[in-house]
Amino acid sequence: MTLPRTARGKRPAFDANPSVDRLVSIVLALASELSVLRDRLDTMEILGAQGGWLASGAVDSFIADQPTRERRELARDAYLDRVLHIMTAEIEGLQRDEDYWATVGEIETG
Amino acid sequence: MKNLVDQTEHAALIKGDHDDRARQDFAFTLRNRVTSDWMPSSRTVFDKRASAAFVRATGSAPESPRDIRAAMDADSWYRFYLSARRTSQELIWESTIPSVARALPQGGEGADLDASVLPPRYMSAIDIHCMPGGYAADRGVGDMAAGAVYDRGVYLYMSGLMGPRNDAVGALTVAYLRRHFPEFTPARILDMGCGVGHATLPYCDGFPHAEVHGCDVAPALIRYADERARSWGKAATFHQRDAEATGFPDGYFDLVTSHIVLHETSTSALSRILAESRRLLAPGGMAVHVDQPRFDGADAWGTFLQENETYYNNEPFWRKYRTIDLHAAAVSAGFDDADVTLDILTADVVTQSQNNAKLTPEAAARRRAGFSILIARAP
Repeated sequence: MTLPRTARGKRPAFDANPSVDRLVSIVLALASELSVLRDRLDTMEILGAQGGWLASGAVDSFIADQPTRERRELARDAYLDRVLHIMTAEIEGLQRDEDYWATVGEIETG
Repeated sequence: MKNLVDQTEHAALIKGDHDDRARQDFAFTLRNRVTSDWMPSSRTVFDKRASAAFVRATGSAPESPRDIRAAMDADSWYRFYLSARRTSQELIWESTIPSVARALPQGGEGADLDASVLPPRYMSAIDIHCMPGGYAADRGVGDMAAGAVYDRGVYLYMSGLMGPRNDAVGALTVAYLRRHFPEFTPARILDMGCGVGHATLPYCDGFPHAEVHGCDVAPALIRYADERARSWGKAATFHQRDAEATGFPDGYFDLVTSHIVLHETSTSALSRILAESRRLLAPGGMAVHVDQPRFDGADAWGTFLQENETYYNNEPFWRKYRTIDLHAAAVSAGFDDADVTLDILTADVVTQSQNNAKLTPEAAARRRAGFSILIARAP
């Protein structure tokens, strides 16, 4: 069982060039991810200072082991799913035959 | 405008892990930027640039909502704002869905479910508010996913102004009733289109001796409502029923309510819901429907802004609903003209839901911003 990630109802076009709308969506999704990262670093720094385990230089000298590399690759793939979601959403919309304004008319007169 | 008090925990609430919450926090921040900063700024764009460009192109000033839309649609800042605004709405759901998809919450054993109740077309055709899957999605016995996504999403969408329990509209309405009708003590209450019970539970506190019921066509919301209410020790019963035809006996309730529900229905459903609330009222009972007010015909800018909900946020009935004369609709539905009143409820949550639209001084003088409250009494 999965939950859908795109809403039924045609996504409006805002710019004459559809790629501008794609870029707006991608840039804001990236901004979201950067914000998440900053919060996560802030949490780490607070916890590190509280526990006294985050020594100066420890992060720079860290080398990831193989399980960590694999885990991070999975996480990055999931990250790209989120950042680039607008591309997938558009395809899903194309795959559905929907007419948003026909439904508005139906509901306004129905 | 925002309120940073965190959403109150309960057994069914899913906030997710550190990064889910950080993503939700970002959606909260971005949404507020768009509604509290960019939305009012669009008026500056109109005054300083778009209006003059419209005059140059057409030879006349933009006066009607339609003119204003044409003027603004030609402006690239405005179009970028709209695009970002749409994305901010989508990021609310993007940030709440993954943790719910992992948890796949189950519950709602106390809910009164009826699988023969099907969602009406106005709920099933389009995902209202762009919530993927829609409110009526049901993924089988015990499924609460739509309720979990919605509860978290509403908190983010309303910039926390719905209160930590997402109950500001219900609480506001209860306070209004207690202030204006101190003698009114309903024994049985029905909240129509109750969703996850956001506006329903304040009635448990406001009328502690009343039997409180909520109904909605969406089973996953009803199950979640049941779980949420029990977690907080609130004695409310939630039913999967259609507000257009609830199946409860004639005169069964002393108070029938709905909160920001009517504008999500349709022209004919609105009449049927009002008629159903009349049918359900015991003698001396009261129907109370709270929702967005009618458009002010003289406020072309405000009308233009508000109509954007239909254009860009999957609100198929919003534009039409806000032209309807609710007083007349209540009379058509069987209430006596003298028993119907319309008033205005005002609070920060209302202003935020209307995108903090700045009124022109003339429009402000004519109208008080707020929700419309329709009160219709049975003799």
